[in-house]
Amino acid sequence: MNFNLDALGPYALVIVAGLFAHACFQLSASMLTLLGSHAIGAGKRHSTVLKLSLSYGLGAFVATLGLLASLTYFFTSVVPVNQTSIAWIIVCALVVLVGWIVLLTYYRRGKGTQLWLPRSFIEFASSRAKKTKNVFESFSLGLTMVIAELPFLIAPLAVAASVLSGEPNLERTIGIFAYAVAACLPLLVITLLIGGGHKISTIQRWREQNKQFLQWTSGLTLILIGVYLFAINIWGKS
Amino acid sequence: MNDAHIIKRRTGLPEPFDPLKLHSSIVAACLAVRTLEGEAHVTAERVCRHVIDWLTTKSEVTSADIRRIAAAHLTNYHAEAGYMYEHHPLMV
Repeated sequence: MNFNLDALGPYALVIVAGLFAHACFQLSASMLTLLGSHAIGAGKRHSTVLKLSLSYGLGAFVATLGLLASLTYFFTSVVPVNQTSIAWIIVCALVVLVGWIVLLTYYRRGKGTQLWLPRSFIEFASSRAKKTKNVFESFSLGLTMVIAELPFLIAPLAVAASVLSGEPNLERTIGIFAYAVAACLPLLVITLLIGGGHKISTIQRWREQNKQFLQWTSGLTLILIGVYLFAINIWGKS
Repeated sequence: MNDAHIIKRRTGLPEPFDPLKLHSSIVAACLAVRTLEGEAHVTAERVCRHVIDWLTTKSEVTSADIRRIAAAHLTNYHAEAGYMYEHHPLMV
């Protein structure tokens, strides 16, 4: 069995950069931190806290996998991105637009790591995190949070899907799985930290101290990806 | 005291101050930063006393006021737990 990942060529860096931007988005990580905080605060056993965190991560992984696979199918069969310039223009415009929106609105001003989402939704999600008792609930919470962040995640997912749609079937499948695994790495790291006995406050402090960095790097990365893709697919071919 | 009413930020409606509710939320904050259970209860009791003392001169306060005062006293006893208590609603 031979994989020809070299076929990705100039796009490999684009996927890695998109993946980085994806991993910088914080809704899933915030909710996992909150879930861990509630579970530990309620005096749940260590193994239960770990199970809840892992199933939450699995939910996020399944949602990412499903969304990326659907978008890749869309760009392969419905709107073949490699055959029409207009599809590339739409993808590039979307990525640049989302990059700008990330720079302007992703975090609320002030203390903490409050996100752009409506407060009513956050209160609902927080109460769900507090009431989460078993792995099925935490799985569905992980799944829901990825879907809730879709207005931002759509950009890196569209980049990865449009690039992977030009690959042969095997490489495309491996790429989709690899992307979903890598996108969920921050959740795995948080789960490992919670499992390793680290304090939730340490994780939250790190997130708060680095929120500007994450916001700026993810926003700028998306803008650069959009410009780069436009340059090699539209300017480069005209 | 204990005539004091808390104005809930979410509903805007007043409800009587419930020291047990405050106690359990402080215990949860302490446990979240891996404090031992006994220490968490002792700390919560001390903080609750400070809040009750503070409430003696008030007839109506907001839930945000209670959180601010409790967080300030909790930070004196346990800095990490105080941070968690204060930042819990600001996490997402």
